[in-house]
Amino acid sequence: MALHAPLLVAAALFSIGVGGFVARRNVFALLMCIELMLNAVNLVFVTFSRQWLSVEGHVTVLLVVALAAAEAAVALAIVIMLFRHRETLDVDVFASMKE
Amino acid sequence: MSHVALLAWILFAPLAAAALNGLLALRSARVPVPVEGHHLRPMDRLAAGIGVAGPLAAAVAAWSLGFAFLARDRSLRLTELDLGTWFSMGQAHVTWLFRVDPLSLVMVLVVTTVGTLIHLYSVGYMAGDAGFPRFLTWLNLFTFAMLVLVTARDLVVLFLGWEGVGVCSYLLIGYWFSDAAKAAAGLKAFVVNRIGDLGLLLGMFLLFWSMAPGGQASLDIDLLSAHVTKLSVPLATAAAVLLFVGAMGKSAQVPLHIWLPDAMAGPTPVSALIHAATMVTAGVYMVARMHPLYHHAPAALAFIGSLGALTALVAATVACTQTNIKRVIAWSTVSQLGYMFMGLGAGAFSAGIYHLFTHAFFKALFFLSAGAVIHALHGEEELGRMGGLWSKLRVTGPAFVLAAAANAGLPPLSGFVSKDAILVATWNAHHPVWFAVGLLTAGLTAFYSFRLVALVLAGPPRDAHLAEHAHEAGWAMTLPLVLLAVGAVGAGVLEWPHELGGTLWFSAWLEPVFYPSLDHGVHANAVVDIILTVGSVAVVATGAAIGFSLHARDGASTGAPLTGLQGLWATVKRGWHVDEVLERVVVRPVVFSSRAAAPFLDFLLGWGARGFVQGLALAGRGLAVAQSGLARHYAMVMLGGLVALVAWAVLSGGR
Repeated sequence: MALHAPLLVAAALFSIGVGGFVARRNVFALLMCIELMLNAVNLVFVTFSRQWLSVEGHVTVLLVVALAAAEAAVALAIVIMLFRHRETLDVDVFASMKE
Repeated sequence: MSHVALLAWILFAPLAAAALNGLLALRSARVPVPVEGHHLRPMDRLAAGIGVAGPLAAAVAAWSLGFAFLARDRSLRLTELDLGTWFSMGQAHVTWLFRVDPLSLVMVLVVTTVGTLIHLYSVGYMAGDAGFPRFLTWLNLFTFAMLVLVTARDLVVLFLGWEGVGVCSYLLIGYWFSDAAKAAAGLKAFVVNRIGDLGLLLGMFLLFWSMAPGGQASLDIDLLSAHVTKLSVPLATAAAVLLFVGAMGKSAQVPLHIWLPDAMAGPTPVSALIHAATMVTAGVYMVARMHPLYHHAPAALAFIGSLGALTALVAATVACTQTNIKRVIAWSTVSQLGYMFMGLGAGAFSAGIYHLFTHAFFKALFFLSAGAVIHALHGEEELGRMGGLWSKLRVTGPAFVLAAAANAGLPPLSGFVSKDAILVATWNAHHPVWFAVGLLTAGLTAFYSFRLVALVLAGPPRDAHLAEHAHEAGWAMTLPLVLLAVGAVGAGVLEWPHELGGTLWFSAWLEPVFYPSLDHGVHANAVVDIILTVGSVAVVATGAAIGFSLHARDGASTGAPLTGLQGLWATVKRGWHVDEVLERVVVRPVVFSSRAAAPFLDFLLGWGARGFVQGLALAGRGLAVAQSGLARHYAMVMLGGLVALVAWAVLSGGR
């Protein structure tokens, strides 16, 4: 089976994720971009796992999915709290990391 | 208690007292309570208890150790306290090693015994002073530093004590620091001592450096003493003279003596403890402690003796002309220190140390009874307003006379025995010039001592109002006077001459330190000794009689006794203008060159240090722009980094 098709899809997904993360200002959009990047990597893992007939890639993907779920749960809670305090979802308003 | 534990008590009881009183001083500085008259506030009572208990505990321990030593064989009279390594760098290993041998024990006994009495006295003298706990803190700290100095086995630790007593001296001279003149006197003492200390440091470096080739690169005094004969004589002489420069500063020898008379700005107990009995004798102790080095460098020893003789004579002449009671005694101290160095110079180490020992008692008594006179006259120090106080001061008066007589060297008081030992030693060591100077100085000493007695106690009062309100001080001040008077009279027993049926107990005690073959025969020929002694007593008695009779008359002035002498009198009274000469020759050129160099140094600093600082600040401000606080910017930078890494990995072909 040709490798280039799934890898090209993964590269496209990852690029969309990175571009969106850098360009977008809405918090939800950022979270979705992170999911895109994670899943692009997942795709690479399963592709190579199949290629080398090894189970390790599958296992890693399951780990990443679990991690992404946990991350989404925590991130959403933080976003809700942020919205209650600042009443906006624009990340550029949250510049408190400066000093 | 074991001997080591006793030594630990001696050292750390005063330190603990200083720490506790320091806490009290911090507290009392925050709660300024107005003080009325000579009364102790509750906090002062506590400070007084702690401040006297510290040195008292040390004194008890020191005497116990002394009696324990007496019970032992001579060669076993040694105790060491090892507190581990201080630092170790390359060849230099310095350990906290404290040692008491017969010589150190003499010093420890003087410091703790006279020290305790002076601490007790100062409770009476300083009562009512706003900074009372602060005063006792520094007095306790001084005691600790002095004990470190006299028990240290390593020159570096000795130097630590040396600087410690210097700092305490500075703090106590300028104790009333709101008076600018007194603060300046403290500063002068500190700066002049720094000059001497530079010599001491250079001497230590030279010793360390010159011992290094033989593998004995150490400043341990015992090791140095054991290997000192391997040094070449010129090198040993240079080191010995440099060490003595340190002693010149600390022990006020010409021309570094100028700080001591000004140091009288401090409270009188300070003058008695630091500037008469203990700290100023540190130089004498140091030279005696390093005696193998000085035996190996006879030229240095001759230099010490000559300078000591010069100092003794010059200071004695100045003491004859002073009109301030404390300054007379201060110049007398300078003169007596010169006497001690003259003894050391003649190779009579035990005679020098013995004079140090008796001097501590009679000079402390002299200062403390002078302090009681000042106290009785509400702070008056000028002789021109004293006189006629004999009937008013029933304890202080006799104590003052005894101190003056011991200082003059009248038999059978302690000063007579020790001064005579030095005079005889100079004669027997074939130094007739030193002997003549010593004899002349003895006459002058008797003259000014009894001039002082006459001006203070005899005749009609010069200030009737002051004399009328004069009153004797309380027991805290009179008890130390009585005890010190016992010491000043009785200390002579320890070295009573053979010809008068005595035993030379003191020099026998010091024999394990200064082996008798090296400690020049103090009493070589009985007939010569008797002639010399009778001669010196005659000179002393004449001086005393002239001094007393000239100044005990009605209307005796504090100025020149003969009208023809007034010009010379004025010159001598200014201390032979040494201060002025040093001002012109040393101080002004230094100040001038500093001022001249200042703009240049400013320029260098502006370009060097300040430029560096400004460059850093600028760089910081530039980099701060990167910290925008926006997560997207950080992500962008991370992306850039990732791209760069991947590009590098790809381009380098994955190797």
